[in-house]
Amino acid sequence: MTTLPPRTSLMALSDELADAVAAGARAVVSVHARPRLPSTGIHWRDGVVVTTEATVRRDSELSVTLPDGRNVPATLAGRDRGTDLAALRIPAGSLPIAELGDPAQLRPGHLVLALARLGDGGPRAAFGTVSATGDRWRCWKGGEIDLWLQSDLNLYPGFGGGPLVDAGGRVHGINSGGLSRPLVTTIPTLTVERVLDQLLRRGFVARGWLGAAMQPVRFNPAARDRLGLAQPGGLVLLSIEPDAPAASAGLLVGDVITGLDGRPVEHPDAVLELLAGDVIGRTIAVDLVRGGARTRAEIQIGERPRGPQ
Amino acid sequence: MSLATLLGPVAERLRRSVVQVRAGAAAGAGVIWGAGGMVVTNAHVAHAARLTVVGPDGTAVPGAVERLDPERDLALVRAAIDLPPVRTADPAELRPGALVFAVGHPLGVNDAISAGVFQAIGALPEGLLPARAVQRHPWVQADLHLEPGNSGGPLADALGRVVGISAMIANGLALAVPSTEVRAFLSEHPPLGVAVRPVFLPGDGGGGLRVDRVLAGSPADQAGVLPGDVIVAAAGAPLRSAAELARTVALLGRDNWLTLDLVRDGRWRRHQARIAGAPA
Repeated sequence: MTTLPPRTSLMALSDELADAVAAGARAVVSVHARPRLPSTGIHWRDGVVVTTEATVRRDSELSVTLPDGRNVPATLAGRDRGTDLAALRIPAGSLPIAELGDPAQLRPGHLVLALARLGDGGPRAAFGTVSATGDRWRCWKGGEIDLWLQSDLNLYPGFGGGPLVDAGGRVHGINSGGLSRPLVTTIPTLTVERVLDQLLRRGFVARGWLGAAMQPVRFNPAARDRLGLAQPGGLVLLSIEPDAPAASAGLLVGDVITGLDGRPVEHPDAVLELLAGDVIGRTIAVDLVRGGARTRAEIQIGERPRGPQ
Repeated sequence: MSLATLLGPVAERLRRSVVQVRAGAAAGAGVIWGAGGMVVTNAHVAHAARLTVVGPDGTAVPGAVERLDPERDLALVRAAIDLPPVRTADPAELRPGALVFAVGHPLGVNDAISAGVFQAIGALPEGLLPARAVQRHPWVQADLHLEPGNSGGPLADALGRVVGISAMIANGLALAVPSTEVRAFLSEHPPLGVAVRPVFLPGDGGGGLRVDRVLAGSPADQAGVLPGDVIVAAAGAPLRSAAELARTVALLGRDNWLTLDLVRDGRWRRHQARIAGAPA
């Protein structure tokens, strides 16, 4: 048996990476939904292309360039600014669907590639490693991402919306340039599946809404003892929008929320988590401190208005 | 095996054929392209009349610019340095995702290696760069970290074969002049050997190309062209741009004479420049 000289091995690694790009790129398309540079999309389910929401700058006159160079018309199925995902419909059977991997298996140090397609050219790739992984997190746009998946990939212009693939070319998620700048994170497959279901069903992701701005406050210990509260603080209401659920429930600016739906709340994240669930239309209890006394109100959770897109 | 372990020996071999090209305080890299001290680098690295070429062992020798093509950003420098020439490969044969690496002197660090992957060859996608002139060049585009000081150095494939000359960074993307362009540059006629810019002549004298610099030993130098001359016509045809001049030179046959009409100190003059064949 002979051992391969080192430079043949480097060539083998090079070939392996090029194979991964070729395999992953079969389901990678170019999305024309903004002026100038196109972005990248993934053929996630038959006839459904997923890309990043921020790169879909218009709602009509969309098209997609397939790996074989054909340009096909696309329609917007839905968008969710919170998780930076958008879904487009293209004619079914246009190209293979992406082979998905399990991003929960990725560990720091794993070799990964970012793929892109800019117009009718071949696929493009950037190469790097997984830098860090972690639990669920909420991005600044408000959406919940099921997994922290950070890489050292360089996302070039047009790479947004493209897949993160492993050395086998399997797709682990969608690279977004805008969720955690300057860190590069990937929206994992689980989040894409979850959001895509809603986007295809109704075109958007419905989120609960109270219509009040709030901020954490700490109670003075004496007042806390007097009120008999176990928690050190709550959420003070800073403003209430007219006709919002909070207004209908009779909440007032200055009220301090200490509990929602029977559970203590101290941080806005707890409220966002509650509102992200299937809660629209439900009436829940709100525990309050108002004028130095504890009280309780009922609030019917509304649907967050979808601002101009 | 890690990437670093695999890359080490391949990079080490290429490093023996990479020099530093110093022009005053600035320094870039250069590639030993052929025997007889043939060093290829970027035109923007070889921008001074006097260059110093430094080998991997620190030996420093003077270098002279033999050919310069600012549009392609290539220069051929001749230096009395005996180093093994690189092997080359056609970047068009690279697949997206194939490993590439660069050797250079990023920010003054000698013979540093950076590794990445090949992305594409050809013009840059519209919208990636504002400068259209740069966009149209057939660049080797790679996902690779380059810094000033990498300019003029090799971009190589996994076998250590040079596929391009690292030239610039656009939106973080590494751009290299394809090795095929280097071959074309070396096999074509030498350019006239002038750096020019379009000017208007006083009065109704029309336009021409003002000579800012004449390469020592170039056809223009041998023909007696001086900095400050305004070339108004080549081979009898008026000139509006440096590209027109380059085209006129390129279309000449081998060992041909080019008639140049100049204005010097307000007087018309006619010079003959001999455009020789390709270098050995």
